[in-house]
Amino acid sequence: MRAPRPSRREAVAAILAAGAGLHPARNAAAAPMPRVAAAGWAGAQTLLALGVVPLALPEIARYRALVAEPPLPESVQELGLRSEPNLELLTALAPHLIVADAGSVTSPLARIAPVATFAPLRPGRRPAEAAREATLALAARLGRDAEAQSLIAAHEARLAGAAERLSGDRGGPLCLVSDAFGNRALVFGGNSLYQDVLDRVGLRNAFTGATSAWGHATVGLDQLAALDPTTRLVLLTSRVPDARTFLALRPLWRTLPFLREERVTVLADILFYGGLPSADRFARLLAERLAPGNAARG
Amino acid sequence: MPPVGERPEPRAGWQRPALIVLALALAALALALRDLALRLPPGQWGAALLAPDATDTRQMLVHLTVMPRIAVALLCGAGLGLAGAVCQQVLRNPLAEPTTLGISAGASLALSAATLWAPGLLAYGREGVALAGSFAALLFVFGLAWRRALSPVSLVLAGLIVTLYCGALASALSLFHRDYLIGIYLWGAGFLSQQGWGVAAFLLPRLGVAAFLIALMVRPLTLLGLDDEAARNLGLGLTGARLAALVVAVSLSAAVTSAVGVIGFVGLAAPAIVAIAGARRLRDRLVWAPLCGAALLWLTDGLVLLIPTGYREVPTGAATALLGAPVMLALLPRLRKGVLWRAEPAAAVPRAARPGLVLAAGAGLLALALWGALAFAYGPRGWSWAGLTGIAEMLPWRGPRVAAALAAGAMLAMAGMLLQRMMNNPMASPEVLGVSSGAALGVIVALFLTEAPSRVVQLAAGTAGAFAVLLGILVLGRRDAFSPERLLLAGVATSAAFGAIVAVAMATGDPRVGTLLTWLAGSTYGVDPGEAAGFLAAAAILAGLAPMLARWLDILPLGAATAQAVGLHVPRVRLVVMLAAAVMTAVPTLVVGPLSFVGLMAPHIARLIGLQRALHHLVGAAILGALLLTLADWAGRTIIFPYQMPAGLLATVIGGPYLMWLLRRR
Amino acid sequence: MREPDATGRTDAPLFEVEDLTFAVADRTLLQPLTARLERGRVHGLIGHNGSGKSTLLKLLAGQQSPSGGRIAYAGRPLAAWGRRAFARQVAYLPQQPPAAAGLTVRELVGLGRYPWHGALGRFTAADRERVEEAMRLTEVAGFSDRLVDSLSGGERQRAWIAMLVAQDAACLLLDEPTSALDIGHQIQVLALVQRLARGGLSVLVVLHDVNMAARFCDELIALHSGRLIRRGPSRELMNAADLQAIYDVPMAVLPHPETGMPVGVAL
Repeated sequence: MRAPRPSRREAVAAILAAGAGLHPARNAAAAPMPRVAAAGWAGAQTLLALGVVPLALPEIARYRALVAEPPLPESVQELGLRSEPNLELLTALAPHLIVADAGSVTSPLARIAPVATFAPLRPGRRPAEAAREATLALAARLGRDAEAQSLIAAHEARLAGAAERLSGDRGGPLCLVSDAFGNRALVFGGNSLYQDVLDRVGLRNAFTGATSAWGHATVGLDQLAALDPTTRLVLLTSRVPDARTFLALRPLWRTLPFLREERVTVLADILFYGGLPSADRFARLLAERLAPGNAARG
Repeated sequence: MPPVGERPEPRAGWQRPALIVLALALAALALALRDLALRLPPGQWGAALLAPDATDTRQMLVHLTVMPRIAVALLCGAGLGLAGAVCQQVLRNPLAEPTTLGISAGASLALSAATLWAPGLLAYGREGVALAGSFAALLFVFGLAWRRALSPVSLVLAGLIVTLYCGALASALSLFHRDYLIGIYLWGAGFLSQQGWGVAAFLLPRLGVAAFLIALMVRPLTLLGLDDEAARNLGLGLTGARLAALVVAVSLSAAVTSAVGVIGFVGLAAPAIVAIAGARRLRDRLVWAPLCGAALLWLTDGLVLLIPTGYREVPTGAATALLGAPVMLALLPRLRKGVLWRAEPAAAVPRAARPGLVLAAGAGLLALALWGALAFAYGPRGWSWAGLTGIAEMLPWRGPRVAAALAAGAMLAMAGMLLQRMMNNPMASPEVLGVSSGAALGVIVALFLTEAPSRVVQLAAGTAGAFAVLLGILVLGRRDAFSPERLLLAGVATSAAFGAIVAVAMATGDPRVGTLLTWLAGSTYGVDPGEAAGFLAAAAILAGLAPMLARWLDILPLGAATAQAVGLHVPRVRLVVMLAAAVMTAVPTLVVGPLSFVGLMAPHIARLIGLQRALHHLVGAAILGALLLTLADWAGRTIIFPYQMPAGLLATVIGGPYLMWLLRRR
Repeated sequence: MREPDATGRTDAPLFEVEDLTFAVADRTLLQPLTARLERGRVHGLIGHNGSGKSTLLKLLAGQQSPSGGRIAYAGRPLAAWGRRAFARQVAYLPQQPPAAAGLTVRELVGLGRYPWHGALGRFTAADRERVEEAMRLTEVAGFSDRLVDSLSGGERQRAWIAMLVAQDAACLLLDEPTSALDIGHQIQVLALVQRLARGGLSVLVVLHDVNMAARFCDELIALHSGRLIRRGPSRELMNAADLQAIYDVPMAVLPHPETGMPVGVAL
């Protein structure tokens, strides 16, 4: 389900309303909504999970397609490209805080409002741990410590639930692939956020090779072919509806044992550097697709 | 002393090429045996190749990955070597190969577009898509060079322009659809890893058919090496023969690209190496170039396998480009000069009766554009004209961008003007010198070595990169008195190496690639007021100094002999002009990235509207460049608000076709 | 740039070369050559294709550096002359003048003033006067505002010579200035050269056509295979034996039916 992109007229009306101090009605009962703009998707995800609706966010349509959770309210303004959030628009929105993703260029943003960099992945730290710390830090910046505590508690509960649903799973280890072309693939390994989720829900990762700081690696099919023969392929993409289409587009992959034997599960896209909401989404989708009884394969 | 005019006849045409191929192949073989020995005891090698034990993982791995990889390296190398040798013969250009003709860039762009909009097409095979893209690119290159009778330099330049333009379009696609194109970057840099014999089985018959067809065409191909009139005299249908041979070569190269991605330089280096080694006759070259290419790629791949794989594997295609660029630079002095450079036919140029008036009108237009860019915009409140107070309000945001665009446009245009005059070639541009590529490389290194490099670090790294290339130019150029043709070809080599590094960066799937992409695309987004002031000051200083070169620039197009005869110290003058052009390129590259066409377009257009004297040409080009980039920046901020299109990219995407049309028309 | 103190000694011969050689890679284009050229005369440089005429001219013009030997102009070694100072003395016209895209005749001739004003000096009224005078002398003033590339072959060649004249040099080095011209234009251009020499200039001109050379030059210098083989007043060299030695084909010399000048004919 995809909400239509708001028309320009609506967007302008929303800004004018926002500029006049009329906050969106949502969450009106809680503490006054802080005026926060999100310059990246990872920060936006956690903001929304903390109950804070950002004034604006870049590439909204693509957020809805690729990140999906938590859902984005209609009131949020389009901010343009992630790599170049529109500064004139941001200035007009007059946020009190801008939440940027780690690694993005923040110096122009800092001329508009204080910038909080949301970094759920940090070198040398387990992603789950770093995500928790980043969430607490962001919440503290916004005075939402209580919401952060309950977010973390809910996260723990969701993972525990997923672990329980998956406890009956007897299949082989998983190979997590988010993109593929020709004979190359992007896989997730030991220091990814997904690894921490797999550890919690009691599943194994088939790929144990070296990975980047974000937990991914690009490999050739030769490396995938060398994985444990009982490996199951998990596709983290919403661009192919099922394994059949995937294979039709990439005939070379037919040589891999897990594709010959159709051990393929297609999950949706997930933001791999998104922190707790991404972990929750990954765990829930895994449980939905892999748990015995409702294995939606192929 | 040998009598005048007599040269020792080279030894039999096959001995030295054979020795070189043998040496390359032995080195590759040693690496391959070492790799195999680490994986499997030698006793089982035969079994692993012919009848692997399906229950033995190690044997199966060798059978399905190691051996087919060698086969694919050999087949791709042979195919590229053959395609290169044919291209060089047909185009009478020792520097032609499918990649330099823009064919790989066309194939990559076609694959990107198909991935986004017609993924179904890829199901029928990448080959068709790659082939369509290749031929479209080739058509453009021919179209651009046709009026210059497909002369070698015009083809190399047209190939460069088409490559740059396809690159700009591809980066526009990746800017807006990065999430959906990661896969193509993972693949496109030329990885040779295999998981079965499928790719080898795909390539072998194609190579066989191509080799057979080329063998049938040896005689007409030999005649094509003569000049057109002589060949026609001997009864050869030129267009048909040329076309048939190129279709075979391009198809072969497209098949390789569709199988393993872009692999640069093998097609260029292999025929060049055997030619220098003494394979004088076409027949010899057609035999030895594929063998040399096969050995060369096998060896490169063996070296790549020695690099310990982290999470990012080094693509062999990028490695060939990186290794190939220095090889090409080393080969340059050994290529005969006359072969490289043919005088471009002079084109009748218009001449403005009142250049001062034209310049004044241009300056007025620029002032108007500046005011518009600052005051008129689609903003949060819709279209708006800002009054003086409104401008003051928006100045902190629009001011630096407009200033940076203005300064960068003017500097690039002046750099282009200097180079076009010095090289006496209207297609020369700052990209051609490789300086912008150098600056870009510096920034990329900074981007990937440090966590989040500040602008200052980026600027410093970019400057360092530009100056490294400059230093290279100085060292290389001194030997030939900074002869334009050598510089041009060195620049093409540098640009190719740069492309390879960008490909590797893209293939990492790193989230920071987004920042890299916007910068490569030429965005003024991150410019802060301090930097803008700096750029404006730099532009003002350079614009103030450049007119001092005007007299030299009037004389240089008359050729080195005349220039020297009226008292110019030609090497020194060329050095000064080139240094000025390099600085004028490096500074704006830091703002708007390396892909802008402004340096090519603005001086060219200035000339076409009749500004012929150096001083008028210089000022006119600067005004036009500033105007172009200011307008592109304004449009980029406005037309898809709140999204933004980088100014350099917009200028290229819109200006590119206009430039191509201008070139065609002449 | 280092400026030589003076314009050289006017009493010294124009050019003096001693053991001059030139080789590219394994080919020797000029064998050791020793000669001196006097002022105020038209010297014609003749010989068959590849005899080294153009090479010698380029060496004298400083366009190429010799492989061995010495060249002196007005008593100073060539290497000791600054580029601009030398250009004020010696003007050189390459064999195929390049296209002068977008330049008018007056602008092209104006470029000849570069050695006098340099990169940054003012283009003075005196410079302008020299340009007008050069155009008048070469009879190109009539089309001074036309584009050089729009002229006929003879007109274009005269425009280039005008640029050399504007250079105000004492010596002109011309490399086959008539090669692309029809017979009428050849005579027109060479008559101009002769007229300029009568005005006090020294000229060294490479010519293909021995009869044109004999008609317009005071003295001929003949090269063969990079070696100086004959030298002398034009009339003296116009005999069958010498011409055969120079061109390697049997030649006859007949008197011109009207002027009585000797005319060489290949047999």
